[in-house]
Amino acid sequence: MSRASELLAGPAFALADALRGRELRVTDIVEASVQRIQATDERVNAFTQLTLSRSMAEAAALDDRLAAGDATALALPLLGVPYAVKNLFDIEGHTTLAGSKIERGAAPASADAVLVQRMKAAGAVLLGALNMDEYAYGFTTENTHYGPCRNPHDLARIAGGSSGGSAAAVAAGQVPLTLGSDTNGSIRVPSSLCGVFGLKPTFGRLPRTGSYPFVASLDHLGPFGRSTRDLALAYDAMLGHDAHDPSCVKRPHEPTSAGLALGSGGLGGGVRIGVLGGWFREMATPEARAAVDRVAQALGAVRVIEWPEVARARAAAFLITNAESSALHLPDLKARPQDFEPLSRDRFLAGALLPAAWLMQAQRVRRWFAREVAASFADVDLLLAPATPCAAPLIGTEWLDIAGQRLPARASMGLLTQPVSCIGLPVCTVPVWGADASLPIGVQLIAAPWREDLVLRCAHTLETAGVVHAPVAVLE
Amino acid sequence: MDKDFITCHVVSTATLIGLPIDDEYRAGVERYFGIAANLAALVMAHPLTAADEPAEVFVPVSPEGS
Repeated sequence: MSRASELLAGPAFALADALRGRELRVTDIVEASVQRIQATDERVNAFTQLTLSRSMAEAAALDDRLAAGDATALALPLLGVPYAVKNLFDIEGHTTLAGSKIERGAAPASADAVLVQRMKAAGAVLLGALNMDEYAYGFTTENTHYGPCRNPHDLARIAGGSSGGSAAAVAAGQVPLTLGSDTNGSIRVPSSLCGVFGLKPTFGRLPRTGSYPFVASLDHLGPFGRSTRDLALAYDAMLGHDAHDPSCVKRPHEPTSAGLALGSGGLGGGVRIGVLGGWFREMATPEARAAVDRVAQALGAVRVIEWPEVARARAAAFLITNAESSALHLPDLKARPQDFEPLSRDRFLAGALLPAAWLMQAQRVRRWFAREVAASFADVDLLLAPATPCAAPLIGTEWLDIAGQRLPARASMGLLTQPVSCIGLPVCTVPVWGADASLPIGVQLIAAPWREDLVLRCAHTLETAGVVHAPVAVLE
Repeated sequence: MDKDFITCHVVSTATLIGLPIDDEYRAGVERYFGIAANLAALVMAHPLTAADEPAEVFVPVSPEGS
């Protein structure tokens, strides 16, 4: 294995350090990333588009700056780190597909999404766009137009969704960092199934300007990586208000990387940690519960917290999603329904018909639930819950047995994430191995709003202790 | 919810908003509407007060540069 390939298989921060030490060129790393994608993506199907000319130009520009002794370039936090984005992020000069066939006819984006601009400013190099469920309406990335994204740890299984390509590209060692979106679980579900770390920040923290919306009142953007430090570096690089996203909240600049080493004050010390009971235990398989138990044991968490009316909160998220997304696509639903993803078309059509009173009540229940949950954080700082009810199902699975019920597999992958994103709490999903016989399952580390620092610190503590990890899948 | 009510609502509301639904999709649409109706029953049954405002908050838009 070449030095570039070795670095590509490791964390992004180590790769950036090696480039700072001038061990090799940014171009060498980008070429290694392209080679890895070309060697593996026929099987994984994480990428829908490579941006090769842009990638090489960005790499060459960084190499020129380094060769000229540019101290600013040397200090870039993501110097030379290859990354890719879910194909709902605008990339200048490329059409934003959002996983659809319909958008193929749209004009190319005139500018990068704001988060892509910020990643570039931090020194990262864009490699391309990634597979997803059409218009982000799904939890499996079984995309009929572009083919299913396959789980790198077992190619017969789903990668999860809707940001399936974002998790799979990281798990496959194609790039160390990616960006995705999460409306009801679309960062946390694929992170869980592909065994990588994923951060869904607080709703309103990162601007969504230049990304294709799914449900504006619930959409979040965030990073995926194979190390918590990489997540923190990417998150820090993307921080900052943007007035063009009306949901983006003006907050003080609150970076997290420097505080990672604070951990949880020792495993479980200092931070008050609880396990979410009720719905979050009942709607999980024994394997998913075992994953939480491993993390809880490592952190010394014994207290069980129950949120009230979780099923109603999940129902509210479902209704808001269904009505708002269908209204967004109503012109195309009227004019060309045959061009929609067959797995979500009927759901979109139904969503256009929901009575307004259901939607307004759902938004009121959402507010009520947020207040109830806020009160629960008087007793704890961090809560644990499974990210998915089970490990990755086989591609094409229609039904799952959960809690003695036969439930539709595709919708049920979000049962444990929807109630959390419904009220916008920050979550870091950490990958646990050994709870399932061969596959990873993610655990959600959940904190009160604006405490991304806390979820990342505790995830870092678990990673440092070896309780959670995100290995590159063996694909040779 | 009664299946006939769902059929009736789907047909009439789709007509009202000018959304054609092909026969090929109708069974699927009614199935998903039924799922939403069951979840709506949960949400609608939740007691709220007049103080429980919707989670959506409008943000006024200032002129550029102000």
